Amino acid sequence: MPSPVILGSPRASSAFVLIAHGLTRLYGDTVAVWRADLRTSSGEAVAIQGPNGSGKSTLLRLLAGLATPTSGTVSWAASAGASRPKVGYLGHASHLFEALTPVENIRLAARLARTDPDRGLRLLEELGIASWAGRRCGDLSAGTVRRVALARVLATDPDVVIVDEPFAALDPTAAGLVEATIRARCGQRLLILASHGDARTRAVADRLFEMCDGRLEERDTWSGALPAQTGSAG
Amino acid sequence: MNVFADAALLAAKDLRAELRSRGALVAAGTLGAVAFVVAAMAAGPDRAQLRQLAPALTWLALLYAAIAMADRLDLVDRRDDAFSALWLALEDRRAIYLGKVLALAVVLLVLQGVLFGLAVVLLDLPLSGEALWLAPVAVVAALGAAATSVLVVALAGASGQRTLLMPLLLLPLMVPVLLAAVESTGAILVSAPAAALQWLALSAAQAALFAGLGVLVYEHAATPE
Repeated sequence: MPSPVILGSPRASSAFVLIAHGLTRLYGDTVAVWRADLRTSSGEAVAIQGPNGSGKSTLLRLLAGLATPTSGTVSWAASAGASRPKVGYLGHASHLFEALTPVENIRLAARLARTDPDRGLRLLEELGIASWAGRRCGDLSAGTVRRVALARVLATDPDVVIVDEPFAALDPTAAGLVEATIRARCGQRLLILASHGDARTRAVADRLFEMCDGRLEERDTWSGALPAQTGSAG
Repeated sequence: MNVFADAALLAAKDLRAELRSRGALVAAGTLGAVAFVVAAMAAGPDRAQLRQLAPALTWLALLYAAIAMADRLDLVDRRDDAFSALWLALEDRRAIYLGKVLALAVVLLVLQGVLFGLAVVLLDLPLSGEALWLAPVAVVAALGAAATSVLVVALAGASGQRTLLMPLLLLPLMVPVLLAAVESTGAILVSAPAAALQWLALSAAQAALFAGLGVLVYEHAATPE
């Protein structure tokens, strides 16, 4: 497995503290997330694991600011001079424009984020997908798209990286490249990962949370995926 | 003015995507050509009647193109949830609306060129020096149609009844800009460009009204949820 190219630490960003309090999201009568509390800060890597339908994806969208809680709050405390953090989010979808190539997607994301587009393009090499850089994203395999999507997120130099199922659709070699890239690139950022219970996610994380039926609890060790009850969403 | 720079980047992205597929452009161009041919056959040797119909046929094809393209541009962002990434990346989300209006206006201007070319050939449309007055009509109509369509598509999408609401809301709201374009084009083609000015003003008013509304409400209408 090739070693990742370390391209320097993240920009001299501020430290952020995420404080989620009593976070609840209902869809009609269905509980997706129920009174979740989470406090974490830059430099920490948090893994949230749980079975399908346990509410992980909804929780990540709430934390990213892409969904509105039914009740509860998500707030950010920052070091002096900072305002809101720049959030990089990768959910189940790729968030890529399928008519554009990986290079075009990354350049666009970097320009909108006011970061160096070349930095993002070097990520394609780091993730082992440089040979696909000129093809339309709509023509790429699921595993390649997943890696392009991660490159797009990191190209924006975010303060907070939120990734749902980072190793989904990847073969062992590709998963190793993604793990190495996350380790190399996210050390000083706040990293939140969600998965069903794979060992790679736990290996990357400093803190482990389990989610079941919308409830979030911190664990010292992984107890194994609990069955989801009907009526919860994920 | 980061919002305008971001809007230009997003418009370039939309135009690149449309250039690669050319789906809406080809569909609208074909519709226009078929409408012209059918009208020419129906009118028979009566060229005067055909010329009278030409502006309405041309702008009806453009109305169809505006609706189809606005829907398509919105779907480009919604597919694979690319919209969420834009939402998080942009400091000023009004850039999404302005970028879409700009991209749609450019596409409509290109299409107007194609359709007027077809109309000259198929409908025997007379072109004099005063036809240059069609340029401002085309620009203002494209901006009015684009500003209206992009906003209405976003509102219809937010309601969860996109397929039902889009034609119901958009078609009536497009009547003023369509009427103004048809009347001003007709006036210019009969060498009375001064008569086109009041219609041009109506079109400009609609463009300004909907662009202002779009800048104000788009961020609230087009959320990632």
